[in-house]
Amino acid sequence: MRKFSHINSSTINEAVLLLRRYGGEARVIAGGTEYVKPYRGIKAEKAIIGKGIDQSTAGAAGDAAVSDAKPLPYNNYMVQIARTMMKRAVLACT
Amino acid sequence: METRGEYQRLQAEGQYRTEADIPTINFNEIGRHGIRRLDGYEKASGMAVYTRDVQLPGMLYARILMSPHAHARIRRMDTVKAEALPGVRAIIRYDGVEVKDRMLNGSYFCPEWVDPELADWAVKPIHPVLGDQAWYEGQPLGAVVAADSQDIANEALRLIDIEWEVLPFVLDQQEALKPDAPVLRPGADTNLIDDPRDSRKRIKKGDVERGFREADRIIEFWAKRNAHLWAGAELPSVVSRWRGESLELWVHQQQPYHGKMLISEWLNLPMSKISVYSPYQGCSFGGRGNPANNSENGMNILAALLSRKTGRPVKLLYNRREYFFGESGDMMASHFRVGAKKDGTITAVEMKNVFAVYMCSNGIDHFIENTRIPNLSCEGLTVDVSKGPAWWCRCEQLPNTFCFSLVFDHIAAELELDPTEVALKNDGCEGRDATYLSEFKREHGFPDRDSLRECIEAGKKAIGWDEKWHPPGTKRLANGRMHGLAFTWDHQWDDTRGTGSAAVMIENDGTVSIIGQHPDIGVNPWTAYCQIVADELGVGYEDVTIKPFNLDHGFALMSPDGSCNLCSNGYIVKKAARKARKILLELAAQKFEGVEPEALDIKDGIIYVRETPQKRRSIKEVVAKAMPTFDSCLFWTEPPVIAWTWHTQGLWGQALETGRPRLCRQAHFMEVEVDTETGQVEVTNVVNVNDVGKAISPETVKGQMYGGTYMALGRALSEEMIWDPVTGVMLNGNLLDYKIATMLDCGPIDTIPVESGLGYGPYGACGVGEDIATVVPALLGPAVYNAIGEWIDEYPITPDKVLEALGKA
Repeated sequence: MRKFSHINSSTINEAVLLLRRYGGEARVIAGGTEYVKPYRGIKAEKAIIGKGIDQSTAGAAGDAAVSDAKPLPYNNYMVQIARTMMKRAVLACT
Repeated sequence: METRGEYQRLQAEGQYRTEADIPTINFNEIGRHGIRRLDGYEKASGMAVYTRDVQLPGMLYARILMSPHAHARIRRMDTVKAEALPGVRAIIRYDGVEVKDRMLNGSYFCPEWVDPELADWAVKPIHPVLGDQAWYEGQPLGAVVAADSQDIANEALRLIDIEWEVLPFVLDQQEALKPDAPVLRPGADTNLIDDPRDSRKRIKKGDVERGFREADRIIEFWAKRNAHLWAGAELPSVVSRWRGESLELWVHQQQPYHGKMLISEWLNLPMSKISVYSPYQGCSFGGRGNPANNSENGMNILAALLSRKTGRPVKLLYNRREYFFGESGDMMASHFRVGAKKDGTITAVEMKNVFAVYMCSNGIDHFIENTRIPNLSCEGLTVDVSKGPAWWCRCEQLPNTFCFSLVFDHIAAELELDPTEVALKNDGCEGRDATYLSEFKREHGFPDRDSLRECIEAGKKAIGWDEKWHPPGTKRLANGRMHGLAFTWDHQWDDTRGTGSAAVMIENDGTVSIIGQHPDIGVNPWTAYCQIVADELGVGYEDVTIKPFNLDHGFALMSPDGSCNLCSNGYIVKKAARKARKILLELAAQKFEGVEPEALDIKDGIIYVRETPQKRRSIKEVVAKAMPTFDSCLFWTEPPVIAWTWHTQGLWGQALETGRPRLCRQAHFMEVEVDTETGQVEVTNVVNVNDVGKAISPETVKGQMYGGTYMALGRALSEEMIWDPVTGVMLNGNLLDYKIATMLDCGPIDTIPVESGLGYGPYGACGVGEDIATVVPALLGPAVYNAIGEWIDEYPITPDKVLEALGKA
């Protein structure tokens, strides 16, 4: 049993994988944003490829990841959470 | 009024206790740590049999149809296919002779036994036991099926062909009050539920407008509590069996004796022909009280009808989704107006509450019972919406504690005062200050102790209040989160009502039996009863036991409403033990030559002459031939050593018990960390300080304090029933999507009992079981405010609301 949290991979299901963070290549994947298919944050990838990871680029990756998000009437807050989780996941890779 | 006169007579005879119960015995077992819990082995080993475990030979399984619509009527129902399904043994239809036009009792007890003037929330609007209309999704209606297995019964329900007339619904109580809202309850012309006692709708003390004129500062705010519920481990069930004209019921219920009264009335069956058994209970929290079992829900009646119809035992079962058929009674939207002096002296509180579905507490009671605030006004409306019935949920005081905490913490924040000082400034009762309370304590034999101050000081020290307290929104931690700290307080309410009876019998081997049915409710109450009887008799705890499941021996412990457990039943077993001791010593005196009973004493199970302790006999030697039955020709007999008694504790049914101020207080402290980027709130520390008067069983007190905390945090952080605004269907009727906290969701919990002797219960005790789960939820808002500097007054406080308050969503 694990502690319940509104904000974790089991509820928001944000899983960010930097698959090959060498050679200037990165993959940013977020689950739980659609019903089935993981979302690949190409804009977020671009925000960090070749720029290294720090607070600034991670924040930019978070912003980029949700830049075209279209929330429904009751889940607008999830955009902010996704932005934060993306940023933190990128930072966690340093 | 005649009934009130009856209470006054009881009071005059000492049954209604206002004086302190000063201990007259030495405590050996009472208050002792490390006592073996009476039901511990059975429960921990898995041997305990719960209602849902009961299996009888030839038993059938029953399932009820539940409405798939938020508001609908059955136009036509065809059960031919269901009846033809192999294994289906009986179907009762809404238009069948067994139930047609038959209503549920609509009462906490039974209508014929309730005085409407005193009934208060005991009387509810009535509806059919099995009707053709539903005004909330999940409402039982239409048909109930008995079959050889649950699966067959479920399949039969699916085979019932129904033509529905789907009707408009309304989910919000304020929307339901508008003139164009659909009226939900059949036959009603408004969604406003008529209250039998108009005084509950409008309560006024003093002159609030004068209070506002005297105030230096006036604040106004809205608050809302969304639906949550019992969600216990054991799902609802009942087993029914007829033996000729007699009915046996195994119930999952916290007031089986009153359930028996209701069943008797409904079936027109004498109570003497009904046997009710209440085995171990996997939960209750109020959800297994009479309202849920009998007044709102016909499951016991339907099981009995099916059993009679088939001639076989019937077990009627609910599944997890169906258990979400009702809510806690604090589904409310409230507007507050509060006036106060600069020093924190509150001059007026005005509140307007709109409750959904039904509720029994108005929100203002704790200001009256617990403060010196002279000017109070409360207006309460109760409105039907397309949601299940709302009732108590550990406990019915939730609206009162919600309003109380929010008012005190809002005004303290507005005045930039330490909330502990504001609490002390306003402590009192019925508009009178703490001086009056001191005088009352002295006059009635209580210790003159300042319960609130003691609780606050203990709690402040435990949480490090003086070092940690800070202005709102000013303390960012190293992990980036904002730190919040908050305090609330209240009085203790569980020592003032309840009634019951029990006997104490000395068995022929000198061991002791408590004879009294008692449902498995509360943490470990039976152990406490045995401790009391042990000390009153002068025997060891291990020599006393209670067999609480059988109602047929005629004694029923437990209060009628479920709130007052030990404080009522403790008196009962105490008085019965004293009577049994007297009989025992009279019998023993005959065996000590020339000794009067008064010269004898009992210690460790040995009866001895006080002046010459070497003259002694064991209890067994004295009672060996005191047979309770005359069934052996080998024994000559003496009168059995058995004594029974009853007790009623307080004026049940009265919202206020004038002249009997609550004396015990409780103080609660909470620390939180708020992640301002995600809205996540983590409760990192809770300190509970409860003045329990006297801790009969210290481990039980602490168990209640831990149990209350996890439940409180779940209510505050995540527990919320959610309905689809488009269809009116509940979306999270399961324990995956309805988030109950566990102990893992709690940070450190500090449990500090204070023993002031200020309770009305035996030896100065008062209750603790309902307090923390009820008082602590509303503390989260003030803690979050202290962290981020923004008020969030809609509960539960989920990340979306935090982000919205921060302007990030």
